[in-house]
Amino acid sequence: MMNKLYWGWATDESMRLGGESGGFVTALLRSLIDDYDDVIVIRKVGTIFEGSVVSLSSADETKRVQGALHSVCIELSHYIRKGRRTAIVLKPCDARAVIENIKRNHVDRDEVLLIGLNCGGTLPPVPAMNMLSSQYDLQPDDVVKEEIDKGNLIFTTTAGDEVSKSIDDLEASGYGRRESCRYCDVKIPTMCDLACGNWGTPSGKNMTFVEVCTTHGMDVLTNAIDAGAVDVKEPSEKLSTIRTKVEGAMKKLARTWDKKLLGRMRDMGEAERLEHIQRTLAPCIGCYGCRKACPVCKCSDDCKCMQFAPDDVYPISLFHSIRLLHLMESCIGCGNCTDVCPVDIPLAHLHQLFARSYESKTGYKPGMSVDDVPPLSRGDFPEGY
Amino acid sequence: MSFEPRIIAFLCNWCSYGAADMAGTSRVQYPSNVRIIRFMCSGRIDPNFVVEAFLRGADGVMMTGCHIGDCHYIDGNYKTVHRYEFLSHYLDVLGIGSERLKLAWCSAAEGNKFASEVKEFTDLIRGLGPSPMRGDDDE
Repeated sequence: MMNKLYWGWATDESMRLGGESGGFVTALLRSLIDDYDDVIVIRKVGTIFEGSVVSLSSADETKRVQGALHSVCIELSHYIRKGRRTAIVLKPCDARAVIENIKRNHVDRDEVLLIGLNCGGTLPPVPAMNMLSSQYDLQPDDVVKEEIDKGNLIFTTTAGDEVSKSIDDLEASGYGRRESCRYCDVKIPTMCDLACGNWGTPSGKNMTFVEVCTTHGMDVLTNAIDAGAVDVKEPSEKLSTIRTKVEGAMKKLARTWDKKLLGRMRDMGEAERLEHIQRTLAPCIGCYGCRKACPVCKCSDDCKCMQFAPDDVYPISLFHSIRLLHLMESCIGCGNCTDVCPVDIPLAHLHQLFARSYESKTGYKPGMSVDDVPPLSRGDFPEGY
Repeated sequence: MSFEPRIIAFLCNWCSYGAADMAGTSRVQYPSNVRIIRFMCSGRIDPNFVVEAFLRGADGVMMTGCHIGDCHYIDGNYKTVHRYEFLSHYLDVLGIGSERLKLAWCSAAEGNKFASEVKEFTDLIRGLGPSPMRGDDDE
């Protein structure tokens, strides 16, 4: 199916003006809330740097949902329960995690509706608040919205002013997006049923750019239109091209960061790289937080990575060796492991080093489609052996 | 003291273990560096086992099984191939080097082949030196 592109908005005037980008997602959720057991979103609690995961139960509650919170980086795939029809609003890495969990039979594809939001990168909440006071001279309470546009990180204040700074400058001075987001190359979540975002929408028109990626997504959208909740029209060719260009620019920047953050490890000789990995992992205190936070690591505690005796002393712990091995074909690069590590080991960089080189060798990229079978699970006739 | 490689060989019950047996009964000499672990099928060789072998100080690991098409369980050794390729890549990125992992097919009649594969691999590892994962003090 060719993906259909639309501009969408909420038909309800207050929702359209009050919600972000025309309130499309809010109106959509409102229209389908009775059809689903769980409608999972992140809701703002206090400032834009604080949010919590909620399951909406009534149409009224949807009113309190607004905006993609890029400073709240909670992994959402954990919240989907098998056996319950779930609609979930998520960023690309969450969506990729859900796809990987569908492959592992932890989630049923027919039970979930994935509403993806475009993502140019998330901000770590606490450093972002520090950045706000040191670089923008603002307090967390002063801002109502954050946005990445044309290479700038823009905060909108309560007074309605926009304060903008170059992302490159911020990131050069140690602020800005999470490192995993900087080199992430999935910006539009086309593995979802609907991929929504504000790239390629006419400015000041309160609209959302919607890409319909599956027939299920098309059904949901049609139902919402028939119910009078949302309305759509064909986007102009010019602005569709602009959307593609924005994505292209983001991906290009991601490649630069990939070289910057992972290139050094790739260029090392084998012995040097082994020593580097060993030294990077040396401070590990064995809390296993990375394993718990990992959205694709769904083995039970019987997994090989936990099968070590206290007197096993290896150059690289069995735990990390096995995790590096297992995640080589399934790491989606969400960066949760780095986030939770109490001793600040850049685990995501290591896992991505393995995963990306495996991807370039085999062409398999995890989390992009339910139909992509990992090379290790194919079991097809091996040529040349 | 000169370096003696420590090699772990994972053998399938039906072909390569038969080959090792054949090598023994026909008194074919091969290096004693190899430590044999028998599996019912080479398709049972979990990549975890190979990683653990290296962590525990193996200088080289051999995965051996029936020739493609001869597997006792029809397609068990297809999986071995995919796992071998997966592991080779992992070892390269980790920095141990995929040359320390060898895949060999030996049928139960190929005692001589098994012996020569072991000899060849032992010589190769002897040339490469101790595995970087191997501790200094252990035997």
